Amino acid sequence: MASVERFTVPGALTDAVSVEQKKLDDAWHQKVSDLVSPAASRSRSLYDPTDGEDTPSDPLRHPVRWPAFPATLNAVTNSPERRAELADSSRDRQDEYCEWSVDRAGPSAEDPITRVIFTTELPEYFEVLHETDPQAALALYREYVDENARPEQIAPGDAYDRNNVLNRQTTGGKIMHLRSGPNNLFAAVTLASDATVLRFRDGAQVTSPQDLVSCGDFGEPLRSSDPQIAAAINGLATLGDKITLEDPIGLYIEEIRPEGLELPAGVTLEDCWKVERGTAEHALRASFSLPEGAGTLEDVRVRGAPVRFGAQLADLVRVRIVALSHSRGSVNPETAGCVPE
Amino acid sequence: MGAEAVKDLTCGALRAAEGDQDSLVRFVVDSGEPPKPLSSEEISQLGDPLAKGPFASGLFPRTAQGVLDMIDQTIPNVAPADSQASFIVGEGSQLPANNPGAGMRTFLVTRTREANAGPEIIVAAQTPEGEGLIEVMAWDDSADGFNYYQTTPGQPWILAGNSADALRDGSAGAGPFESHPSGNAIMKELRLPWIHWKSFRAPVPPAVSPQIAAHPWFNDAIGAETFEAQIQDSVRRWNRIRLDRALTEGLVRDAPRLLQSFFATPTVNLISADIEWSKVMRGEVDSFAAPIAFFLNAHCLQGICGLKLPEPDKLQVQSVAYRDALAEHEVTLREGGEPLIPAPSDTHFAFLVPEPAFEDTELLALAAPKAGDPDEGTLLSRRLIACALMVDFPNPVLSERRAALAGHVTDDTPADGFSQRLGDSIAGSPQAGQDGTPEAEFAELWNAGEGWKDLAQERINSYGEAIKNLLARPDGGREVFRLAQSRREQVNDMPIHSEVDFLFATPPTPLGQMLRMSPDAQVLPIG
Repeated sequence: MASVERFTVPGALTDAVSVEQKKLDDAWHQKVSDLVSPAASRSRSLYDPTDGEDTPSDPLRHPVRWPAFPATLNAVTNSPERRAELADSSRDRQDEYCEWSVDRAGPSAEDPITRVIFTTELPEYFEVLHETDPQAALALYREYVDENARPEQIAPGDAYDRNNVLNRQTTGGKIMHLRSGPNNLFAAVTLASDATVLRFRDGAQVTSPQDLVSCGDFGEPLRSSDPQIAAAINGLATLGDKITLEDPIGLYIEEIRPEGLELPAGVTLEDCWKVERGTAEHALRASFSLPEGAGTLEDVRVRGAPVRFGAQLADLVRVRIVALSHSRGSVNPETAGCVPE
Repeated sequence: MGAEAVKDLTCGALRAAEGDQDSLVRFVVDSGEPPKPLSSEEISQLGDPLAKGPFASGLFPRTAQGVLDMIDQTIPNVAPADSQASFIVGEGSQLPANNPGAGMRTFLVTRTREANAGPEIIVAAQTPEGEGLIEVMAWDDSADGFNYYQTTPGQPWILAGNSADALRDGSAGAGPFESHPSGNAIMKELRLPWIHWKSFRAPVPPAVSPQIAAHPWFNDAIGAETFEAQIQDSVRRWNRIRLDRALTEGLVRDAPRLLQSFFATPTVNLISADIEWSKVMRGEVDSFAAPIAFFLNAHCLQGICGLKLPEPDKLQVQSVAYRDALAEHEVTLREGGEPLIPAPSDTHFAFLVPEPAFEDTELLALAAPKAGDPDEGTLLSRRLIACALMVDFPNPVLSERRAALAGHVTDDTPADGFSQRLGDSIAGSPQAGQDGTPEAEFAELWNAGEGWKDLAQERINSYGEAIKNLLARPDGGREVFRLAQSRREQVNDMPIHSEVDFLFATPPTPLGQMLRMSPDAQVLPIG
């Protein structure tokens, strides 16, 4: 059996500047614990791995993956170009636990894109970081967003603002972490807990993703992330598994898929795709750009169309959360009707 | 007079191939050649990873996992293990677990070598480790195209042909080419929400068999959205070769077969609304958007010709009307005529209908100018494509009117000026002078010259409004159901339907009436 004594920071980050890293690690553990512990206490199936419940060394691992492109836009328009334009227009649209911002060759919105930056970094992490080590938070903004970032820009009135002026744009590369309403760890953990309840309607169990999301009141059924996470967790709960989320708990950029991506001659995907924060296995921030001198992203095609929107690449980016389960048949899961019944 | 035996031209004919399990037999159904064991020398001439690796080394795997393991042992760089991706499909995979039709599930495992080229190998089997039917499509670098292989317990491995055999008289439409008519890899449910596939829209339930639950093919299976992109890359790869082979010495060779994709419906893909039927059934939504490809050839008219399509707000089928139509006709999924679910019901995702196949629309896209490029220098101009596809445009599949235009295509015609000549030939034909003919409909747009785009857009806009008005009527849902059902019944006779009984939700007896949509959105009998 392997126990998890502490929740570890996403992507093995070591961001502390003016305090010891251990202090930040402890603060993060406490933050995650404050989210997971109550969620686990509400569920028979979900457990807190730091609270005495061990996980075997070979649990079943259930990666749940989805594209970063917001699937709800498929219902809005039949035009792929219009969908991409809408997705790029506001971070609020980017609701699949991954957000992005584009850099252009010039100041105009018509200038070609040179770089797209994707992030799955959690707003909760930055709140903890700023509370524990404000200088470290500012240093990250200066490194990744704006070298002239000022403390009051990210924390007006001293309290860290996840929707601050340096983290709400879709252009200029001004992106540090997730900020769209549903994109946070609290939402993901709450969903994992709530989805362990087996839902019944008229005596029949509700299992399909869209139906489950409606029945359990888990939000928007046409998103690609939450219905799938809910259905996966619910399926494991149905089998009587003990379930937890894999540490380090978080949303990760798994990869950018190569299918449908046409690069200029001599350029490889490895030349273009750079993990900027986190590790290869637990990537939190990544960017796509051509090597210097190889042109702009208009020289790249996705499914035959030149890249004029970050969303075209978001369609190839995969986001991941991982559940672990074991002891099949050992839990008698809670059951309930639909909400509201 | 004695009864003549019906010749089996399906994959079932491959059962006739006999021999040692540890051997490879070439048997291309209806090619005129009997099954023939291949010698080591003949195997060495094959250029795909299965032949170059395991077969050339005298290894004949008996499990699907064994195919990939032996490739890794013998020829690791051709279809590298780190490119492996697994997918899950099954017509019964979205039925409740206790349903008699549930559980049909196939693993598809791909490996790729080059970005954008599609898989080098596709292995399909119901189980990774157990014995059973194993089907393999492996790309042949020497001959180009996929080599189609299969084996079953007790049988040798069978080489059932190469993609090129799909385009030869005799073997065309026979054996594996019954369901792969152009020799391409296919995914019939190619687009969102990928009914029948594991995807972000419909994860398959966790397997209950511990062996399967722990197997990486199941546990690490990725979504249909990625298989869609792999298949699209693969289709482009083979279609480019088809096109290059067709365009030699300045001529368009075998043009009638090549342009089948243009005018006729050699095969179809399947598309549904992006909503689970159960939500429609319970009235959780007042309406749902029918797929745009049901109403016109969206991929070509928008993607190639640059025309704007009616938006989802114009395509809203009223849930009540649709439910009533299904109830009136006692529609549900059936196996052997017996309901799998109490009627009325629909497929997991509502409103499953045929749409133009990607392998056909993409062939046009490859022969046409790329987005932003001029018409010059391509085989097919936007104008020709639009003028042809706007003939009977409210019926994007199975249109006999549009198919009639194929009679104007001649073989071995010069590639230079092909579009202009073909367009002029149709528009200048005697039939074009007769009211109501497909040629006259074509000519009306063709003769508008550069004004074709405005005229076509005007017709599409007007059609969009007419659809909206139709669907707002109390009987609108019933009308589109009848049209959809008519198209499903026509597809029932196509090979794409041959493998499963309950692809579509159906009434107990067919409607038996062929229907079409008119440009003013009336559902009318054909003929």
